[in-house]
Amino acid sequence: MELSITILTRRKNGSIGRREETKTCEAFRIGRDTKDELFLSDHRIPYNLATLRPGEDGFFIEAESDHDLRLNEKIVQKAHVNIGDIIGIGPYELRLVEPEDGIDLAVTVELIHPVGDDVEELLSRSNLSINNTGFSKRALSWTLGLSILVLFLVLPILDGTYNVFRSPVPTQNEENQANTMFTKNEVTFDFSWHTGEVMDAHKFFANDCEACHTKPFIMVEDQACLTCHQETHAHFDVLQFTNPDLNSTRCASCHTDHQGPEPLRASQQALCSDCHTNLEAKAEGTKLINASDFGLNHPQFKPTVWVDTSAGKQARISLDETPKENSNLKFPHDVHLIAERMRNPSTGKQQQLDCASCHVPDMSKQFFKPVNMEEHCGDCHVLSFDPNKPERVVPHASAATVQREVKEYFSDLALSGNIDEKAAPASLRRRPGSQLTKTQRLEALEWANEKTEQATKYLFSASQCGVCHQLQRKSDKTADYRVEPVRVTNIWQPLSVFNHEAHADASCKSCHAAEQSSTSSDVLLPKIESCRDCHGGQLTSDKIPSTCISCHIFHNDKLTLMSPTTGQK
Amino acid sequence: MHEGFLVYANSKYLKWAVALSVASIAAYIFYEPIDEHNGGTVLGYILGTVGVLLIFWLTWLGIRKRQYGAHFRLTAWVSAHVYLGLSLIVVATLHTGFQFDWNLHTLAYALMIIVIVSGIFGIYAYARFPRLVSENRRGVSMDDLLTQIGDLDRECRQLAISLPDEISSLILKSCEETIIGGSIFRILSGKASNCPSDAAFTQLRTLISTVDQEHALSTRKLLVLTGKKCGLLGTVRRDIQLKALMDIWLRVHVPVTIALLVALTVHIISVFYYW
Repeated sequence: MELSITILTRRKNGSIGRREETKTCEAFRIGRDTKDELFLSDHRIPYNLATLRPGEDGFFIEAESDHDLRLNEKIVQKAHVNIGDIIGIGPYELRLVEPEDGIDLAVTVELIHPVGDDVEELLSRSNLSINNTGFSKRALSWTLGLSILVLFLVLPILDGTYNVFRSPVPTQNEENQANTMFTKNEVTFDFSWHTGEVMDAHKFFANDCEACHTKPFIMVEDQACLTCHQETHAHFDVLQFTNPDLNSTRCASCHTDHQGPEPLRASQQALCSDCHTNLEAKAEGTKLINASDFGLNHPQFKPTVWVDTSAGKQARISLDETPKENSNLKFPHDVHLIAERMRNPSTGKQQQLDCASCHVPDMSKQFFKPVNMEEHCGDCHVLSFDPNKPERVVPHASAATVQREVKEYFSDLALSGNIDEKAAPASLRRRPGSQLTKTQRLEALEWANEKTEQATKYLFSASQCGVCHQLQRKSDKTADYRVEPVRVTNIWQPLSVFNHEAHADASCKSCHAAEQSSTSSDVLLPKIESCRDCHGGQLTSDKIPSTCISCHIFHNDKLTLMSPTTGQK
Repeated sequence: MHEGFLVYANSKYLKWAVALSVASIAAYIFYEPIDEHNGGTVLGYILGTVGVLLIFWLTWLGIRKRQYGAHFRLTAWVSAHVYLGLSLIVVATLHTGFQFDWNLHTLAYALMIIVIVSGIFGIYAYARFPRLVSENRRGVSMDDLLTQIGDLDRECRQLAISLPDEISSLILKSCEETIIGGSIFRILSGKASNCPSDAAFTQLRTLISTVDQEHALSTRKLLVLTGKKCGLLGTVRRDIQLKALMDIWLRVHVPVTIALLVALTVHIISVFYYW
């Protein structure tokens, strides 16, 4: 067949160049093979792309292998073609046109998509800088900044202070204070402001910041604390000491919060020594001696002892002045701790007593139960009064009770009869059950009174009650005795705390010189030097660091309650 | 010397920073707070004030460096910025008293640490990468590198015209689908997985033994050219990677600084709001 191929070239000025050639061939082959009728020097074109052949009913195009063709914009692999059809082959367009005479098939070929500039195309596909990746400093700055502002400032204030996101809590009366706090303990936006774990006791309202932080930009006020802590006592007598400096310390100065679960966080001695180094300057007229460090600057202990028991007078006397306690009790510790001198009258055996024989820890284990006559002394100190019946004892009671008990005993004996005593009237030595005459009854009464007086004299003598007690006879004529009241100080230092259990591993005598004490007026409290063998001040490095509040308490139960209105501490 | 700021004025600002750090540590050791060390003690307030002043001053450098012609030496400012910025780690950490939690306050601290760490990377980048860039490019400009790649592509195309489709399509893909860079991660990684040029090179090496005799010479030439192209692509990718690394830290440093300034302001407001 005769084939006419016209190559169209579009110039820059818009005109079209035409280059026509005519070929005689069996079939019209298209491809990159130089033998092809239409040889396209473009590597985007397959080596053998397609062949156009004359058929029985017109021309027929078929792609080689599985290459695709575009016949009038439709993807085909083989198809009949007619005049006017446009066949797309890669970047080229093949158009079947009306052939001139003598020509079987005429086509025009035009390169529609020429090969571009490689560098330009490479750059258009590539991205060489992170400037073009949408990672903008400005956008990120705004996003981060505004997010933080809203999440951590605007929302917390709106939520915490103005309750914008919460239903208002119904007002409740004072009795329901704790309940109100509980219902307000819901997590709010200001939780991000928490500076640390609150103490355990405050955790049930820890999310309600405003319970303590009542006013913005004002430090937590004592009033907020005293709303709940209404039973807290003052530290000094506000009526006596009026210096405003004394009230400048806030509750939160010592009771710091947001620092962990323990209740009282601050125990530094400096908190106390601020004032107590030179107390006179702030509290004129104080009787307290200055102290700033247990190991270095602390006065000798001044136990509170009974100086005049009958007048009910106590006084604080320094141990350096060897105080004597007038307790009206006679008790030599030394004798009781020597086994040879302790013989139990009922068993006749020697008995070694120790401190714990009488001093038994109480429930708290910090202190001791009161010493009890029947329990601790009664085994040996038997209050017998009738030599014929030594097992018969009087109770450890008042003198009147003892006298009545003795009288009732002998009266009963006289009326019952059958008394062995030879000196007793014969009527009293009768057989029990026989009737008494009036004279005999008077005889019995007289005998009973006589015996009572003897026994009472014996009881209230130096060999019985007088062993321990100071006794006085109310008058020389009568047999009425008075036992002077015993006043033994239970706690010598009422304003300090001492835990005996914490010192249980130390022997008693390492602090209390009981073995050397022959009189109960001795105050067997160890001096401060004894404590300092183990304890030093807060800053000590070779002893147990002990701060003021290791022994002392700030809030004095003997003073009035702290008042938010007077600001009394 | 890009790292000139490190030794500026006989490392004057390094000495200042060390002095500030030592002073802070000494104060921390000798000061006895009523409770634990934290931002609310007297020392905590002092260290906090020093810290916040430092942070605002360091940020000021960002504005200052744009004011050319002012009476200052940029090297001096950068030197001070670097060393005093590093001393902030000590000052701010001691301010916290090592109390960290899931809250706004630790957020501000964490942002500050991110800013400082990104800054440390910046120092490293400025000290090391310019040399790596020169070594990598060996005096050839980026435009030259790209032009060379374009020339190689053109040569490859011409050579591939007469070659079978199998080879021709490899070259076509290599010329038309190779990409340099792309997403931020591709730029920073410096690698290009599935690069058509690399693929063409690899496959040409296997094809070369099976290709017809008449195409053998062209194919061998093609292999050399593609190999060259891959080498150039590697250089370009490494170049933009290094430049991106010198740039990316600032894209963290600056926005997180802004975030830090806001967080710091909110931190200060909040601790005094609930004093």
